[in-house]
Amino acid sequence: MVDGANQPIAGVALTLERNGQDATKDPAISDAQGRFAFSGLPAGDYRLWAEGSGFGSVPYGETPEPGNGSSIRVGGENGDKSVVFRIQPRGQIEGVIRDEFGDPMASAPVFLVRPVWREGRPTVTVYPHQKGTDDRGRYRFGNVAPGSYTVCGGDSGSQGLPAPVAGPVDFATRVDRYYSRTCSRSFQLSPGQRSQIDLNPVAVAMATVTGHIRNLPPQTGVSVTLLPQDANQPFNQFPNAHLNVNNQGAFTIRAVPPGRYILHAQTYAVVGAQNSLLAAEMPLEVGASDIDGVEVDVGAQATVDVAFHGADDVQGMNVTLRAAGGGIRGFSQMKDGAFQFQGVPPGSYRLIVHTPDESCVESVKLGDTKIRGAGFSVAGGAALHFDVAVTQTCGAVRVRAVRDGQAIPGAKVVLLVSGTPDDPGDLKEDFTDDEGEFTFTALSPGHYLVWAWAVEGPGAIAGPASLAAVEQKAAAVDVAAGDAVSVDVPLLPAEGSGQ
Amino acid sequence: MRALRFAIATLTAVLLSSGAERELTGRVVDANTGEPIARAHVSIRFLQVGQFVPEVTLLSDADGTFKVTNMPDGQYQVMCEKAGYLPVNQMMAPMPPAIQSDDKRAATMVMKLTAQAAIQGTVVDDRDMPANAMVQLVLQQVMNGRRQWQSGQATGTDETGSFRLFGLPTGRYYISVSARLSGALGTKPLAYPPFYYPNAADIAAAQPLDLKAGDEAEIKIKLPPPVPAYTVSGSVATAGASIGLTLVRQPSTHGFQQSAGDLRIDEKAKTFRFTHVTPGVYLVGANVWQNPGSSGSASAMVTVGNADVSGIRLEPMDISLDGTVRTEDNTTQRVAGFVSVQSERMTNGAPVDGDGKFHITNLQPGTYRIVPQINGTQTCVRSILSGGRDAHDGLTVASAPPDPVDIVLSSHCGGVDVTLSPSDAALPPNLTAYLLRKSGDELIMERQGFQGPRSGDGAQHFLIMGVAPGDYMVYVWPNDAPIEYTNAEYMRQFESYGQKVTVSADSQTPVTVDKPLLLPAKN
Repeated sequence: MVDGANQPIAGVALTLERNGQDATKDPAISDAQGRFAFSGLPAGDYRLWAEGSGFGSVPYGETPEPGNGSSIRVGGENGDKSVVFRIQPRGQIEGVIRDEFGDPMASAPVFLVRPVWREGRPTVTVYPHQKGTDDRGRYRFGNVAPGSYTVCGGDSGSQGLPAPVAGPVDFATRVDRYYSRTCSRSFQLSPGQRSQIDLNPVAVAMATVTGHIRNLPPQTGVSVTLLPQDANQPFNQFPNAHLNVNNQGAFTIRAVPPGRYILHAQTYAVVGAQNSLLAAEMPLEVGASDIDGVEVDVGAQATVDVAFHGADDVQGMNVTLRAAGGGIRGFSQMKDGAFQFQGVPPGSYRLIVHTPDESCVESVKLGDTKIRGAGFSVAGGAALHFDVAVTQTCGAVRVRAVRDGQAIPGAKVVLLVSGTPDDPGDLKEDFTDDEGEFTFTALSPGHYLVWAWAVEGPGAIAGPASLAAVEQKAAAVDVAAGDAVSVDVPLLPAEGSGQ
Repeated sequence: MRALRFAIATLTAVLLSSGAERELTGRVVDANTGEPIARAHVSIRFLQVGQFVPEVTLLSDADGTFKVTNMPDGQYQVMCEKAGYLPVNQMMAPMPPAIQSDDKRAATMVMKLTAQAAIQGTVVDDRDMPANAMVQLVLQQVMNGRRQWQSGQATGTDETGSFRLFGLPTGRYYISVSARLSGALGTKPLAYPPFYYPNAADIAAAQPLDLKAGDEAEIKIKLPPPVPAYTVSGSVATAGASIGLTLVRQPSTHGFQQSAGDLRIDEKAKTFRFTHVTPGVYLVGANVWQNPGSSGSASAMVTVGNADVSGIRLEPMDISLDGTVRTEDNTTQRVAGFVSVQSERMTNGAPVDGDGKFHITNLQPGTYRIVPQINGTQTCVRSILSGGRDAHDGLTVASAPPDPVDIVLSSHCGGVDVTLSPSDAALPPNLTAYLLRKSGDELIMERQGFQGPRSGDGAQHFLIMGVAPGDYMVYVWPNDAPIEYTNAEYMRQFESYGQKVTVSADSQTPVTVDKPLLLPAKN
């Protein structure tokens, strides 16, 4: 155990985990020289955690993704393993949140976001968790790992912070205002640094969205939701909108903050003894002014069935539909051993299939057409049937992330499972272990592209703007059934980040 | 919600077209100084499907005033908030409907905000290093006529050992600190014993902080050295999927069930293990939930000395209480209502079905008072029997289901017409008449009567209906007053405020109470 200046840290409790379980009965404690040891370990991949005063709980090979670290490979040809667990001094981020009048905002949510790369694009993640300001508008995050941060706050995911209106208010003509989410500029927190970041959230006028749901079955309830689509929203919750729908399907959503949304309407139709789901979706861009006359048709829904072949049972299978505009849809029910999606609104989708570790997807067919990884469109009223062939004869790719011939531990590795770099389908993402390697398993035979980049230390980047932008820098690998192939993947250079 | 929202929209339209104007005006002031409070957030929430939904939030002006025009009808709540003050809300009744086009109705209110109190400070260990601790406020409150410990706000210390608790009303606060050892120390069989500010192992020896409006207390807490700690382990006999366990130090003075030690449950093997338990007497309790919807509980006392305790076996069972509610003449007249059971530790209940039966599940051992809440005021309880024994004053539940309860209602009830003598003193607005009866060493609140009309001479009337014949005491006090009325010893000091009354069947007994029982104001 050493600190940022390579000085030993004594008295740290170290816990070793394997497959999410404690691998040893007792933690190890670092001695005066910072040394610690675990003995009698079966060969395998382990994760190591350190806990101590001054830094809290930190994983070995810490990455900007909270709680994610590098695994440590023990055994095999390398025998015993010796690692240096370095913990950079933690910093603090604190500040005051004041409203537009300069008054402290009490109980206002505040969170830190870090740039990460997920599901094919750069995005942000909340780190480590949300806090609220105290009665003096103050907030404080302690034990913060060095790195790139943005402080956001002022609004709240589910509750919303209404911004007060000055002066006499006419109830009939009032305008709703809310504090919008306000973020600081991105900044670098150096080891041990204390940063003071104050926020002044801006109050913005909210719009009212009115419209009509067509083909609403009689005597059923209906839900109308707006799903935020802006990429920098780490919470996928809609603020404090007021919804009102009547039996004829006319709806009013008041207090909608400006932004891009998917409007989602959902209801049920009673067919015989069964309820069948009806849903419709449409993109909606809300600005400062009201939107009237939105028409949503829940009568044009489709169903999608997904049947599996070659697997004993469907235990552990996971199937989702991903809409082109974003948004993931889970299946509605199992019907005759198939996964059935009901009430799928017309639009473009991609089928994402996850299998248990020991099996992989051989092919995906829509009718007679092989469609693995490609998008497809769903027309109103359509009934689509997919056949997914699963095999237990899968391959694996051992990826070594390299820079100047040297393996780099803790590098992000991304494998394109289906789709194309222009239009990625399913991706596998992880980090290289302490030897700079990571093994992607459960791959069906085929041709794959793999990328790697450093997320910490020299040459670290947040990730490419898109996989298409770095298509030429990918390592290509062919996997045959039952094969385990190794490939060296050069790290993406910092200038190639496309940021 | 839909119906209500449409009613609002319609009414607004009518009002606008008729030219009527509803105004809500108000003023926000400091409750103690009377000074206006500027830039307070006043939010108006309308009642929709049982909950209040914010509709408008406005700021008070420099002179503390606010005004909303064109208010629609409906039931609404006015909330007022300002950093550094305790929030308040006021329920507003619906305003009367518009009568004519030039009618101008206004509602005016004064929102009095009381400055908050706050406690902040640091917690350090015996080596003056920042401690990882939970700081919990504990206060005494009178609930259902009984003085009880209640848990208040709690917060964790940050990595510098600092904490701040704010938004506190005036009161007497005890501070409980439960600290955890972290890092290398956390791996040793050591733990902090219970600790109360400033330096006590027991709440009886703790020193409270008396906080008034606007107070900011700054305290420093230094923990004693950790002491040797042990493990408490055992198993739970259940097929249930979900197990919850608590280990609560006895006597459990606090109203909250804060569990001691660090718990690990093996859901498959149905075993549990509390580590880092300091010596003392504990109640280990298990709750299990199994499908569909059934549950059970079991508990055992354990004494932790200077060794680990193992082999505890808990066999949870669902203790439920069955019973019937009927009228004394056994008519088939439908009895609608609810039966609740109340012990010092819990309140539970169930509705009475169409056959007069009720089934209350998930009781824990203890003594319960059975309280039938029957719709309509013309009935009273004639008897409550369990297995032929009188359970009117309490039913003791052990670890097995008790005998079925038979509740007999009588329609030959009495009533009490309480008159509070006229006086020149200003009366609080929320006075209530209380009818108490003696049961062993305790007083039981039988019925209460809310304020009725004032007669011409200025006397205040209260009507109490549906009273079983018998001897009672009548008092009048504000309904939020912390009167420990179950405590006969405590009530002796207020004897002169009470009035004896004997209620007979089918008659209304008049009784005059000289003065209301008003406790001296704190602050």
